[in-house]
Order: sequence, then structure tokens, then C-alpha cells
Amino acid sequence: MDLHASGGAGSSIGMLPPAVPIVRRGSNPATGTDLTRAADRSSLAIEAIKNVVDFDTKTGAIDLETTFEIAPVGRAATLVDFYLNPGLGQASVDVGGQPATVQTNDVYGGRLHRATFFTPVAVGQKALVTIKASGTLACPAESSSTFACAAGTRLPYFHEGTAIPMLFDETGVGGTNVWQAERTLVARVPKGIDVIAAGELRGKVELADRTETTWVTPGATQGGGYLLLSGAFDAAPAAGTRLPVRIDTIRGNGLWGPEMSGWMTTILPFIEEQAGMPLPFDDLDVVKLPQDTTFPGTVAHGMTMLSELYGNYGNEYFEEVLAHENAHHYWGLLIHPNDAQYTSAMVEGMATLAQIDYAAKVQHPEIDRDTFLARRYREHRLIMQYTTDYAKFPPVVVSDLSADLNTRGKERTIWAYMKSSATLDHLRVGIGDESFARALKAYASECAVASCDIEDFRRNLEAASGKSLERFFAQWMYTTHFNRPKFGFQQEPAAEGGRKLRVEVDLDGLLELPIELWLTRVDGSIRKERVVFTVGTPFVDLEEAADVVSVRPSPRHDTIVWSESIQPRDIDFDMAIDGIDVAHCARLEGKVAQPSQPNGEGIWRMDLEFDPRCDVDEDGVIDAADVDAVTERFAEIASAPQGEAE
Amino acid sequence: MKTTLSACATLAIGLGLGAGCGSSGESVPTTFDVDPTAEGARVELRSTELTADRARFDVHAVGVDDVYAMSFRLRYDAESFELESATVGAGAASPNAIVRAKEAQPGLVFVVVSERGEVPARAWMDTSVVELAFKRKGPRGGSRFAFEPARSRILTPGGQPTPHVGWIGGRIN
Repeated sequence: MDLHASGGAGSSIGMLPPAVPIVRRGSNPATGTDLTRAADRSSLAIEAIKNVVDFDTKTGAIDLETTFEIAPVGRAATLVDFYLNPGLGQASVDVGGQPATVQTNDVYGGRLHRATFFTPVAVGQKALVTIKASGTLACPAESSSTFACAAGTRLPYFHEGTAIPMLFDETGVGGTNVWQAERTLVARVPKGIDVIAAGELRGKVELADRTETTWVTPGATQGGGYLLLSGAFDAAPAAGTRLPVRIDTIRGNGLWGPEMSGWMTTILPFIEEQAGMPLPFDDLDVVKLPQDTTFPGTVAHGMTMLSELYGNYGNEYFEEVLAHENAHHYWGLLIHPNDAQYTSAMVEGMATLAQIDYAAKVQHPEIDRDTFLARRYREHRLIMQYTTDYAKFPPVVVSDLSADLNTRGKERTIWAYMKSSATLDHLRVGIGDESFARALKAYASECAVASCDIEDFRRNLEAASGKSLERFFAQWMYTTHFNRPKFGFQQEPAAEGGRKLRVEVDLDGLLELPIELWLTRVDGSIRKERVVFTVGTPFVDLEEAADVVSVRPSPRHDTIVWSESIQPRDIDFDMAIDGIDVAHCARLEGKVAQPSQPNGEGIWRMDLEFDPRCDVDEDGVIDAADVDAVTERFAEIASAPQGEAE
Repeated sequence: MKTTLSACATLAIGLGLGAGCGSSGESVPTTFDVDPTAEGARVELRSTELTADRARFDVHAVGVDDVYAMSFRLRYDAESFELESATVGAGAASPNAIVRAKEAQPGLVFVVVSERGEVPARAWMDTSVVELAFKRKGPRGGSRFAFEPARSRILTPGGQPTPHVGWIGGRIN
């Protein structure tokens, strides 16, 4: 009996809960978790935040003063929370001229301060808050620290949450400047030290023993957080870019600089076209980070940072990761969803999708786009299927944060980057690339420098495609399913000539399957037809001029929808097991679906030739037994022959 | 093009006769007309035996290099023939190769010759890949033996179909 049809793991995870209607914008329908706009939920309004930081780049000594005015919303304000580096000790906080009571708690490598006001600030009032702290940064050595910093190195730097506070209101809203406050950083460093910081450079003053630079980030949601880099940089302008771009390398290490300069000439127009808007910066600093930096890459307002360690995986990979990082200027920075803790679909998912799209369009225009994308997303499927407990893997939008994905390194990577991007591409194929592209631009236009969530994206997708995506989101965004629908087809001569074709699907528990069908004709040409199968109508009728050889979903769906032929072991969906199926799997004998393969690709070095359909026992190895299992059923035909007329 | 067949058939052709010399004494087709062929990579049926009881073909590959596998479907008159045996040609594949031939339904045989795993490519420049024997049954009329080109292919070690392969069948008259 067919393994997949016998009620094994595949079937058990194919069952969906009853459809849950999505009625509230900005809410998770699966659980009711409140995902309404963070700015709307905040109990504060903050229009501007000013940070003045004196940073001794050699010792890490910091002297900080932060000021901002709060206006309570809906309730009196009694406290603010903020993170600082533990090396700064306990900050002092003054609210409206009165000292606040400060308590601290060390979490996530940062020191969380809670400043409780002496007198609550009532709705309708405003109060100036001043935070002062000084000390010496205690920078963690590990690379994954949430609040990373460095001093006394070639690249002294600090993130928000270390030498400048990362703020939250008393309801826990904050962290990413949800108030869209204008933010100013006045940075003072020893003379002769260069500074590149988030924001537009608005002033540079030479003091007695300090150089003072002023950086302003216009009022905007800043998902990337604040960041300051310092040291000695060589800055080379990239040629031919609309936006002035500088490639900044640590002095004495110009490796990759010319390549990055060249790549930016194609990356910048690519990401701007995808988002449908120009980057709203005066200029852009692209900083190549040395390998020993404790973070591999990020973006901030007007800054892109990427470690040269990606060069270890070859020029092409380095280039596409640079595209990924720059794509974050839209997907994560300018358009920073307020449900980013619950889903990374519109942050890492979109940046990964942009990265792979870039590779397809710019690096490999000679390869059919669908073929290229399907191959690249196969990496994601193999990693999800063979390196995780996929049936229990978190959905694209998690319902609560108890799993704390943000601290689970590898799983977070798979969830945020791979599952999210593959689900977005599955969605894109289902509604059409053109509709998806229009929706993306509309979403970007609406949500840039605003506060949006995944439901705003859905709304734009529905407007662009004219289709309800309620079931799609229920099945693939809010819950985890890797269903195995089974495809079959019949054809017969039509009275008026040509062929009448019926494509039928066993939906394996799905309520709805929007999909692009690929019909391979007898002459080898492929007709691509977007259709929607539903529980009520699990078939479509089509007309064709000539005989159809096979019918299958676009292989771009394969990462999320683990489709099969109705005829077990029929790999190529022609309803029969012939030599093409046998040879296909025989050629893959010995392939392994685990990272670090000899001919592996990408950073995980996965063997993208591995076809899960040939791994009959699903043990992650296509071995002789798998090939024999296909060969044993050689010459079986599912139904009436799909033969060519003589 | 007409192919010379067995000794009996050779005699028949030599005499310019349409009739054969089957054991039953009935009229037995004795000639195999190969479909028009062309230059370039191709797989063609070459008749090696045609008697009252049996038709035997050499599935012969010409001008094909970089070969990993061959898969084809061949149609014929189910009332006249059924597949009897298949034998891989000497040197056409490694000892470890998968060789299968089976009637998927009457009048339609599936054939595969495929290596397994990573192996060096082969060249089939003038190679007998597989010999197919069909047993006669029912009325002893003629039959067309036709490949299904859309479902037949030669694969490279990279898994790609070799382009522009001609699949040349024929007819027993």
C-alpha cells in the first residue's frame, strides 16, 4: 500500500481544524491573540527622542543622556521600561523634574530598567523624561547577543539597547520606535575616529578632543534599531547608482569592496522596483563587516552592514545576501510590522524572497525563472522536512510567544527565513506573480513609516488578486500543514475537436488549494493555468487542443504543498510509472537530505538534486530500497492510457 | 527502407514475394518497413527475426553520447503481438543497471535501461541497447511498432533529456 495514503505521518498532519473566520483586521484568527497595531495599543505618544552619547571607542566608556517628551494615551503613564548595557550600571531617570524610582533586571544580555514615576502623568498632560547613565560597555563575546557591542577593536560599535536606551511603554509596546518619533543621535568620539550611524548626517563639529556628529532619523518606524559604527574606514563611492552609495571598508582591508560596489548598481534598482518606491535616504553607507564582528549583518536608516564571511560561500552567494540585507531597508526597517515578534513573514521572509528573486533575475536570467525558484526553494523544503519535527513546526504566524522562537537559533532561521519565504512564494504562485507584485507595492506604500501587520498585507493581496485569502491564511499562515494532495487527470476527445480534460485532486484535508497547474502537452510545451480546488469542487475541467502528457502543480508549490500523483510512485505526474520515473530516482540513489553534502549549495550545503518523491521511506536518504520501491511498480498505469493517437 | 530478416524472409525478399514461409502455411508477414529516418541522434527498431511465431527487434541507438538512461514506450497491435522477453545489449549498460520491460497494457510496452547512482556517462554511438522479442498471437496480420516520442527519452547523467533524438519505429507488413 502506498505509504502516503496509509495514514502515516503525512496524513495525520494533513488534517485542518475547522475554518475560523477572519473578521478583525490585525488579529490572529487562530487564537484571538491581539495583534492590533502597536501604535494604537501604546499608552504613550512620543514625538522625538534625543540621545547624546560620548563614546570612548578604545575603552568602551560611555556617558549618555537621553531626553524625550511623553504624552499619555488612554491611561495615565506611571512608568517607562528601557534596556541599556549592564556595564552602564543603573541609570537615573527624571520625569517632569522629579526623580523616578528605578529597578533593574538583567535579561537577554541587556539590563532592563523600570523607571516608576513619582507622580503619574495624566492624560492630557506632557512630561519631559531624561535618562542619564555612564559606565563602561560590557560587550558579550558571543555572536548572537541581542544587545551586541564592541570597544577596543577595529570596529567599535553599539546597538540600541546598549549605549542608547531601547524604550517600552508600560503595556510592553515599544522596542522598535512604534511611536514614529524623530530620533536624534549626537555622538562624540575621540578625534580621528570615523563614525557611521543610523540616520542622516546633519552636523559635524570638531571639539577639543572629540569629534561630534549629529544624526537624525526622521519620524519613522525603525525596525532595524539604532546603531553606531566607529573606527577607521575607507569609503569608496559606488558608480552609477541613483542614490549616492558609499562602500565602507575597515582601513587596510579593502577585500570585496570593488565587488560590493558593482553589486550595488544592480541591487539598488532591484529592491526599489520590488517595493515600488525609492529609498528615502540622503545616501546609503554599505559597510563590509570584518569576520570577527559579533553580528553578521543588519540595516539601519541609511546603513547596510554585511560581514565578509559570506564571501566564504562564493561571489554569487555574497552578492545575493547583500541583496537580502538591502531588501531589509523596506522589509523590516521602513516597513516594520508591529506583529514582527509573531511573524517574520514580512521581514525575513520577504528579504529572503527578494534575495532569491534577485538571484533569478540578475544572476541567472538564462535559467527559466520557475525552474530556478523551484530549485532554490527546494533547499527550504529539505531543511524543513528532514531537519525539523515538521508536523509540530511553528506556523508562519505563531499564536503566542511561549515558544520564544527569537532565542532558538536554527529553528528561528528555518521559521523566519525559510518557511516564511517559501510560504510567500507558494502564495505568489497561487494568485499570480503580477498580482503579488502589485499587492507588495500597495502594501509598501501603505505601510512604510506606518504601523501595519500581516492582515494589512493580506488585505492588499486580496485587493490585487480579487480573491479571498481567508482560507489560505488559515491553512498556511496561522497553522502548520504540509498536506499531500494527490493529482490525477482524464482526457477524452471533445466533440468540437481537441481534448476535454478533467483534473481531480484528493485534497488531503485541505479546504482550498489555489494553485498553478502545469499541463505538459504532447509537443513538450507547458500550459500554466491558475485554478482553485475546493472541498466542494475538487476538480477543474479544461480544454486543450492536443493530448496532455502530464498534469502537476507548479514545482514552486512543492516546498509547502507536498503534492503527489494519484498513482503511487509516479514521480512526474503522468499517471503511470514508466522508465522516466525509475531513471529519475535511480540517478539520485545515494543522495542525502542533510546539510554539508559534497556537492551542496548555499550556506547549508544542501544537495538540491534530492527529490523527496524518490525517498519512499522518507528517511532522508534515497537508497537502493527506495529505487527498488519505485521500480517494483514499473508499468503501472492509474487509469485509462494517456496515449498518443497513432 | 526494407530490412532483410531471417533466412526465410531473405528468400522471400529475394523472390520479390509478399508471402512468407510460416510453419502453419498461412500467409505470414515477412517484411519490416522502417519509418523514414534522418541523420543525427536516434533510436531505431531493427528487426532481427520475423517468423510465424515471433518478431524480434534490436532497439538500436545511433549517435547518442552522454547517456545515463533510456526510457521509452512502444505501441503495437495487441491482437497480433505480446511482449515475450527483453535482453539488454552487451555493453549498453553496467551490470548494476536497472533493466525492465513490461506490458503496461496490451499493445503498450514500457522499457527502461538506467544506471543507478553516480556513474560515468556512456556513449551509444552504434549500440544495441535492448532486444525485444514479441510473440505472435491471434490473426497473423501486420502491425505497426511505434514509439511514443513525447513519453520516450534518453537522459544524461545530469538528468536532462537529450534533445532532438529521433525515435524510429516501423511496420510489419
